[in-house]
Amino acid sequence: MTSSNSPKPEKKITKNTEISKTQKKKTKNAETPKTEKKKTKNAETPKTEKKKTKNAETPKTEKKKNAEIPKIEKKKTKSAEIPLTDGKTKRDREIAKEENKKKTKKPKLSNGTSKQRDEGSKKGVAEGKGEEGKMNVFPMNRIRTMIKGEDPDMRVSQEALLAINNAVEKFLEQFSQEAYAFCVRDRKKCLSYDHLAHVVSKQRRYDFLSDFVPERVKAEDALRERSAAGTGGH
Amino acid sequence: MFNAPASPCGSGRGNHESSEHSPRSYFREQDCFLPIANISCIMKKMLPSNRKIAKDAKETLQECVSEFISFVTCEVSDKCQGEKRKTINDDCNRTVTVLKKEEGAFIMLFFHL
Repeated sequence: MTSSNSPKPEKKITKNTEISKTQKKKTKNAETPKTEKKKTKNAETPKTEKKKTKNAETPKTEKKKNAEIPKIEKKKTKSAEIPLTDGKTKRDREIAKEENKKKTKKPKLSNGTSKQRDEGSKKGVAEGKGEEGKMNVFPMNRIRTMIKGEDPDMRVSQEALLAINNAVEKFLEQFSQEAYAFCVRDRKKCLSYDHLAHVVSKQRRYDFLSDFVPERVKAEDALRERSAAGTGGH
Repeated sequence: MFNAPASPCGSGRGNHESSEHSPRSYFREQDCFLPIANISCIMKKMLPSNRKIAKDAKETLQECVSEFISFVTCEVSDKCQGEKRKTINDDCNRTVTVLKKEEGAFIMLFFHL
Protein backbone atom coordinates (compact mmCIF):
# COMPACT_ATOMS: atom_id res chain seq x y z
CA MET A 1 0.00 0.00 0.00
CA THR A 2 2.55 2.58 1.12
CA SER A 3 5.03 1.62 -1.57
CA SER A 4 2.39 1.90 -4.28
CA ASN A 5 1.28 5.32 -3.02
CA SER A 6 4.73 6.91 -3.12
CA PRO A 7 5.33 7.06 -6.94
CA LYS A 8 1.93 8.57 -7.74
CA PRO A 9 2.42 12.02 -6.12
CA GLU A 10 5.77 12.35 -7.84
CA LYS A 11 4.15 11.90 -11.23
CA LYS A 12 1.48 14.43 -10.37
CA ILE A 13 4.10 16.93 -9.29
CA THR A 14 6.01 16.55 -12.55
CA LYS A 15 2.86 17.06 -14.58
CA ASN A 16 1.92 20.18 -12.66
CA THR A 17 5.35 21.68 -13.22
CA GLU A 18 5.23 20.90 -16.92
CA ILE A 19 1.80 22.46 -17.26
CA SER A 20 3.07 25.59 -15.56
CA LYS A 21 5.98 25.75 -18.00
CA THR A 22 3.71 25.74 -21.03
CA GLN A 23 1.48 28.33 -19.42
CA LYS A 24 4.53 30.50 -18.85
CA LYS A 25 5.31 30.42 -22.56
CA LYS A 26 1.73 31.20 -23.44
CA THR A 27 1.67 34.20 -21.14
CA LYS A 28 4.87 35.55 -22.65
CA ASN A 29 3.67 35.03 -26.21
CA ALA A 30 0.28 36.53 -25.45
CA GLU A 31 1.54 39.70 -23.80
CA THR A 32 3.49 41.24 -26.71
CA PRO A 33 0.72 41.38 -29.37
CA LYS A 34 -1.73 42.80 -26.86
CA THR A 35 0.55 45.69 -26.00
CA GLU A 36 1.17 46.35 -29.68
CA LYS A 37 -2.49 46.36 -30.61
CA LYS A 38 -3.44 48.61 -27.68
CA LYS A 39 -6.97 47.37 -27.42
CA THR A 40 -9.64 49.68 -26.09
CA LYS A 41 -11.90 48.63 -23.26
CA ASN A 42 -15.56 48.07 -24.07
CA ALA A 43 -18.23 49.06 -21.59
CA GLU A 44 -20.17 45.96 -20.62
CA THR A 45 -21.99 45.21 -17.40
CA PRO A 46 -21.88 41.50 -16.54
CA LYS A 47 -24.93 40.08 -14.84
CA THR A 48 -24.82 38.43 -11.45
CA GLU A 49 -26.98 35.57 -12.65
CA LYS A 50 -24.42 34.62 -15.27
CA LYS A 51 -21.72 34.63 -12.64
CA LYS A 52 -23.72 32.31 -10.44
CA THR A 53 -24.29 29.84 -13.24
CA LYS A 54 -20.60 29.94 -14.10
CA ASN A 55 -19.59 29.36 -10.51
CA ALA A 56 -21.88 26.35 -10.44
CA GLU A 57 -20.45 24.97 -13.67
CA THR A 58 -16.75 25.19 -12.80
CA PRO A 59 -16.65 22.45 -10.11
CA LYS A 60 -18.32 20.03 -12.52
CA THR A 61 -15.64 20.62 -15.13
CA GLU A 62 -12.99 20.21 -12.46
CA LYS A 63 -14.44 16.90 -11.41
CA LYS A 64 -14.46 15.71 -15.00
CA LYS A 65 -10.84 16.70 -15.36
CA ASN A 66 -9.95 14.79 -12.23
CA ALA A 67 -11.74 11.73 -13.59
CA GLU A 68 -9.97 11.97 -16.94
CA ILE A 69 -6.46 12.30 -15.52
CA PRO A 70 -5.92 8.69 -14.35
CA LYS A 71 -7.08 7.26 -17.68
CA ILE A 72 -4.66 9.41 -19.62
CA GLU A 73 -1.92 8.48 -17.19
CA LYS A 74 -2.41 4.81 -17.97
CA LYS A 75 -2.33 5.45 -21.71
CA LYS A 76 0.79 7.54 -21.39
CA THR A 77 2.66 4.85 -19.52
CA LYS A 78 1.88 2.38 -22.30
CA SER A 79 2.53 4.63 -25.29
CA ALA A 80 5.77 6.37 -26.34
CA GLU A 81 7.00 9.84 -25.35
CA ILE A 82 5.74 11.79 -28.37
CA PRO A 83 2.00 11.16 -27.84
CA LEU A 84 2.52 12.07 -24.19
CA THR A 85 3.55 15.58 -25.16
CA ASP A 86 0.64 15.82 -27.58
CA GLY A 87 -1.80 14.91 -24.84
CA LYS A 88 -0.32 17.53 -22.54
CA THR A 89 -0.54 20.26 -25.15
CA LYS A 90 -4.19 19.41 -25.74
CA ARG A 91 -4.89 19.69 -22.02
CA ASP A 92 -3.13 23.02 -21.86
CA ARG A 93 -5.14 24.33 -24.78
CA GLU A 94 -8.39 23.34 -23.12
CA ILE A 95 -7.30 24.99 -19.88
CA ALA A 96 -6.31 28.14 -21.77
CA LYS A 97 -9.67 28.31 -23.53
CA GLU A 98 -11.54 28.02 -20.26
CA GLU A 99 -9.33 30.66 -18.71
CA ASN A 100 -10.02 33.01 -21.61
CA LYS A 101 -13.74 32.49 -21.24
CA LYS A 102 -13.61 33.18 -17.52
CA LYS A 103 -11.43 36.24 -17.83
CA THR A 104 -13.41 37.94 -20.57
CA LYS A 105 -16.38 37.99 -18.24
CA LYS A 106 -14.51 39.23 -15.17
CA PRO A 107 -15.22 42.90 -14.47
CA LYS A 108 -12.53 45.48 -13.82
CA LEU A 109 -12.65 49.01 -12.50
CA SER A 110 -12.67 51.81 -15.06
CA ASN A 111 -10.63 55.01 -15.01
CA GLY A 112 -12.37 58.04 -13.55
CA THR A 113 -12.65 59.93 -10.28
CA SER A 114 -11.75 58.25 -7.03
CA LYS A 115 -15.33 58.41 -5.76
CA GLN A 116 -16.67 56.53 -8.75
CA ARG A 117 -13.98 53.92 -8.28
CA ASP A 118 -14.83 53.41 -4.65
CA GLU A 119 -18.49 53.01 -5.50
CA GLY A 120 -17.62 50.58 -8.26
CA SER A 121 -15.44 48.46 -6.04
CA LYS A 122 -18.04 48.33 -3.30
CA LYS A 123 -20.94 47.42 -5.52
CA GLY A 124 -18.93 45.01 -7.59
CA VAL A 125 -20.23 46.53 -10.81
CA ALA A 126 -17.57 47.54 -13.30
CA GLU A 127 -16.79 47.68 -16.97
CA GLY A 128 -15.79 44.47 -18.64
CA LYS A 129 -12.74 43.90 -20.77
CA GLY A 130 -12.73 43.59 -24.53
CA GLU A 131 -13.67 40.46 -26.40
CA GLU A 132 -10.37 38.73 -25.79
CA GLY A 133 -9.42 38.35 -22.13
CA LYS A 134 -5.85 38.39 -20.92
CA MET A 135 -3.99 35.35 -19.78
CA ASN A 136 -2.63 35.19 -16.26
CA VAL A 137 -0.87 38.41 -15.44
CA PHE A 138 1.87 36.82 -13.34
CA PRO A 139 3.95 33.75 -14.17
CA MET A 140 2.40 30.70 -12.52
CA ASN A 141 5.70 29.02 -11.75
CA ARG A 142 6.91 32.09 -9.88
CA ILE A 143 3.86 32.05 -7.63
CA ARG A 144 4.28 28.34 -7.05
CA THR A 145 7.89 28.90 -6.03
CA MET A 146 6.88 31.59 -3.57
CA ILE A 147 4.22 29.37 -2.01
CA LYS A 148 6.64 26.47 -1.71
CA GLY A 149 9.13 28.83 -0.10
CA GLU A 150 6.57 29.52 2.59
CA ASP A 151 5.73 25.88 3.27
CA PRO A 152 7.80 23.29 1.37
CA ASP A 153 5.51 20.37 2.22
CA MET A 154 2.43 22.08 0.80
CA ARG A 155 1.13 20.81 -2.52
CA VAL A 156 -0.57 23.37 -4.71
CA SER A 157 -3.22 22.55 -7.29
CA GLN A 158 -3.66 24.41 -10.53
CA GLU A 159 -6.96 25.95 -9.48
CA ALA A 160 -5.39 27.39 -6.36
CA LEU A 161 -2.63 29.00 -8.40
CA LEU A 162 -5.22 30.58 -10.66
CA ALA A 163 -7.20 31.85 -7.69
CA ILE A 164 -4.13 33.35 -6.04
CA ASN A 165 -3.04 34.88 -9.34
CA ASN A 166 -6.39 36.64 -9.68
CA ALA A 167 -6.41 37.62 -6.01
CA VAL A 168 -3.01 39.27 -6.32
CA GLU A 169 -4.19 41.21 -9.35
CA LYS A 170 -7.27 42.47 -7.50
CA PHE A 171 -5.15 43.28 -4.47
CA LEU A 172 -2.82 45.41 -6.57
CA GLU A 173 -5.70 47.22 -8.23
CA GLN A 174 -7.39 48.09 -4.98
CA PHE A 175 -4.17 49.06 -3.23
CA SER A 176 -3.04 51.37 -6.02
CA GLN A 177 -6.51 52.87 -6.20
CA GLU A 178 -6.51 53.78 -2.51
CA ALA A 179 -2.95 55.07 -2.75
CA TYR A 180 -4.05 57.26 -5.65
CA ALA A 181 -6.74 58.79 -3.44
CA PHE A 182 -4.07 59.96 -0.99
CA CYS A 183 -1.96 61.13 -3.91
CA VAL A 184 -4.83 63.38 -4.99
CA ARG A 185 -5.12 64.83 -1.51
CA ASP A 186 -1.46 65.79 -1.53
CA ARG A 187 -2.02 67.24 -5.03
CA LYS A 188 1.05 65.60 -6.48
CA LYS A 189 1.61 64.12 -9.91
CA CYS A 190 3.72 61.16 -8.86
CA LEU A 191 2.54 58.25 -6.72
CA SER A 192 5.30 57.64 -4.19
CA TYR A 193 6.17 55.57 -1.15
CA ASP A 194 4.57 57.98 1.32
CA HIS A 195 1.14 57.43 -0.20
CA LEU A 196 1.49 53.67 0.07
CA ALA A 197 2.65 53.94 3.67
CA HIS A 198 -0.29 56.19 4.43
CA VAL A 199 -2.74 53.63 3.04
CA VAL A 200 -1.20 50.87 5.14
CA SER A 201 -1.33 52.92 8.33
CA LYS A 202 -4.89 54.14 7.79
CA GLN A 203 -6.59 51.00 6.57
CA ARG A 204 -6.90 48.14 9.01
CA ARG A 205 -7.21 45.52 6.29
CA TYR A 206 -3.60 46.15 5.34
CA ASP A 207 -2.23 45.49 8.83
CA PHE A 208 -0.26 42.51 7.57
CA LEU A 209 1.84 44.94 5.52
CA SER A 210 2.62 47.28 8.42
CA ASP A 211 5.99 45.63 9.00
CA PHE A 212 7.00 46.02 5.37
CA VAL A 213 5.71 49.52 4.66
CA PRO A 214 6.17 51.65 7.78
CA GLU A 215 5.57 55.38 7.82
CA ARG A 216 8.75 57.36 7.31
CA VAL A 217 9.94 59.06 10.49
CA LYS A 218 12.73 61.56 11.00
CA ALA A 219 15.86 60.21 12.61
CA GLU A 220 15.54 62.64 15.53
CA ASP A 221 12.07 61.35 16.43
CA ALA A 222 13.19 57.76 16.10
CA LEU A 223 16.15 58.34 18.38
CA ARG A 224 13.93 60.05 20.94
CA GLU A 225 11.52 57.14 21.00
CA ARG A 226 14.42 54.74 21.32
CA SER A 227 15.96 56.63 24.21
CA ALA A 228 12.58 56.95 25.90
CA ALA A 229 11.93 53.21 25.58
CA GLY A 230 15.42 52.47 26.86
CA THR A 231 18.13 50.19 25.57
CA GLY A 232 15.89 47.17 26.03
CA GLY A 233 13.34 48.48 23.53
CA HIS A 234 12.49 47.19 20.05
CA MET B 1 13.37 43.96 5.16
CA PHE B 2 12.18 40.99 3.15
CA ASN B 3 14.45 37.96 3.51
CA ALA B 4 14.47 35.17 0.94
CA PRO B 5 13.44 31.87 2.53
CA ALA B 6 16.05 29.11 2.17
CA SER B 7 14.19 26.17 3.62
CA PRO B 8 15.08 22.65 2.42
CA CYS B 9 12.74 20.65 0.21
CA GLY B 10 12.28 17.03 -0.81
CA SER B 11 14.85 15.56 -3.15
CA GLY B 12 12.39 14.91 -5.97
CA ARG B 13 10.79 18.32 -5.82
CA GLY B 14 14.17 19.97 -5.43
CA ASN B 15 15.40 18.28 -8.57
CA HIS B 16 12.41 19.46 -10.59
CA GLU B 17 12.72 23.01 -9.30
CA SER B 18 16.47 23.08 -9.86
CA SER B 19 16.01 21.94 -13.45
CA GLU B 20 13.73 24.89 -14.11
CA HIS B 21 16.01 27.51 -12.57
CA SER B 22 19.77 27.83 -12.37
CA PRO B 23 21.29 24.83 -10.58
CA ARG B 24 23.40 26.99 -8.28
CA SER B 25 20.72 28.28 -5.95
CA TYR B 26 17.23 27.05 -5.17
CA PHE B 27 15.85 30.48 -4.27
CA ARG B 28 17.08 33.58 -6.01
CA GLU B 29 15.94 37.06 -5.17
CA GLN B 30 14.25 37.27 -8.55
CA ASP B 31 12.14 34.23 -7.77
CA CYS B 32 10.87 35.70 -4.50
CA PHE B 33 9.20 38.64 -6.25
CA LEU B 34 6.77 38.91 -9.11
CA PRO B 35 7.99 40.77 -12.20
CA ILE B 36 7.89 44.52 -11.61
CA ALA B 37 6.75 45.24 -15.17
CA ASN B 38 3.50 43.36 -14.61
CA ILE B 39 2.97 45.15 -11.30
CA SER B 40 3.49 48.59 -12.81
CA CYS B 41 1.20 47.68 -15.71
CA ILE B 42 -1.65 46.88 -13.33
CA MET B 43 -1.00 50.01 -11.30
CA LYS B 44 -1.12 52.18 -14.40
CA LYS B 45 -4.49 50.76 -15.35
CA MET B 46 -5.92 52.08 -12.10
CA LEU B 47 -4.49 55.59 -12.44
CA PRO B 48 -5.18 58.36 -14.97
CA SER B 49 -2.77 58.57 -17.84
CA ASN B 50 -1.16 61.78 -16.60
CA ARG B 51 -0.10 60.26 -13.28
CA LYS B 52 3.31 58.74 -12.76
CA ILE B 53 4.50 56.08 -10.33
CA ALA B 54 7.78 56.42 -8.46
CA LYS B 55 10.25 53.58 -8.67
CA ASP B 56 10.31 53.14 -4.90
CA ALA B 57 6.53 52.73 -4.93
CA LYS B 58 6.77 49.95 -7.49
CA GLU B 59 9.45 48.15 -5.51
CA THR B 60 7.44 48.55 -2.33
CA LEU B 61 4.40 47.03 -3.98
CA GLN B 62 6.56 44.19 -5.21
CA GLU B 63 7.33 43.35 -1.60
CA CYS B 64 3.70 43.86 -0.59
CA VAL B 65 2.55 41.36 -3.20
CA SER B 66 5.06 38.78 -2.00
CA GLU B 67 3.88 39.32 1.55
CA PHE B 68 0.27 38.99 0.42
CA ILE B 69 0.95 35.58 -1.13
CA SER B 70 2.80 34.46 2.00
CA PHE B 71 -0.08 35.72 4.13
CA VAL B 72 -2.69 33.78 2.19
CA THR B 73 -0.50 30.69 2.14
CA CYS B 74 -0.05 30.79 5.91
CA GLU B 75 -3.78 31.08 6.51
CA VAL B 76 -4.51 28.19 4.20
CA SER B 77 -1.64 26.16 5.64
CA ASP B 78 -2.99 26.53 9.17
CA LYS B 79 -6.38 25.37 7.98
CA CYS B 80 -4.89 22.38 6.19
CA GLN B 81 -2.82 21.37 9.19
CA GLY B 82 -5.88 21.64 11.39
CA GLU B 83 -7.69 19.23 9.11
CA LYS B 84 -4.57 17.21 8.25
CA ARG B 85 -4.77 17.90 4.53
CA LYS B 86 -1.80 18.58 2.31
CA THR B 87 -3.31 20.02 -0.85
CA ILE B 88 -4.30 23.64 -1.44
CA ASN B 89 -7.33 23.09 -3.60
CA ASP B 90 -10.52 24.85 -2.67
CA ASP B 91 -9.18 26.05 0.64
CA CYS B 92 -8.97 29.58 -0.70
CA ASN B 93 -12.66 29.86 0.07
CA ARG B 94 -11.95 28.88 3.66
CA THR B 95 -9.41 31.66 3.84
CA VAL B 96 -12.31 33.96 3.07
CA THR B 97 -14.22 32.86 6.16
CA VAL B 98 -11.14 33.15 8.34
CA LEU B 99 -10.23 36.61 7.13
CA LYS B 100 -13.82 37.78 7.26
CA LYS B 101 -13.71 37.45 11.04
CA GLU B 102 -10.55 39.53 11.10
CA GLU B 103 -12.10 42.24 8.92
CA GLY B 104 -10.26 41.06 5.84
CA ALA B 105 -13.23 41.94 3.68
CA PHE B 106 -11.19 42.88 0.61
CA ILE B 107 -10.10 39.29 0.12
CA MET B 108 -13.74 38.29 0.10
CA LEU B 109 -14.14 40.56 -2.92
CA PHE B 110 -11.30 38.81 -4.71
CA PHE B 111 -12.84 35.37 -4.71
CA HIS B 112 -16.47 36.28 -5.18
CA LEU B 113 -16.28 38.87 -7.94
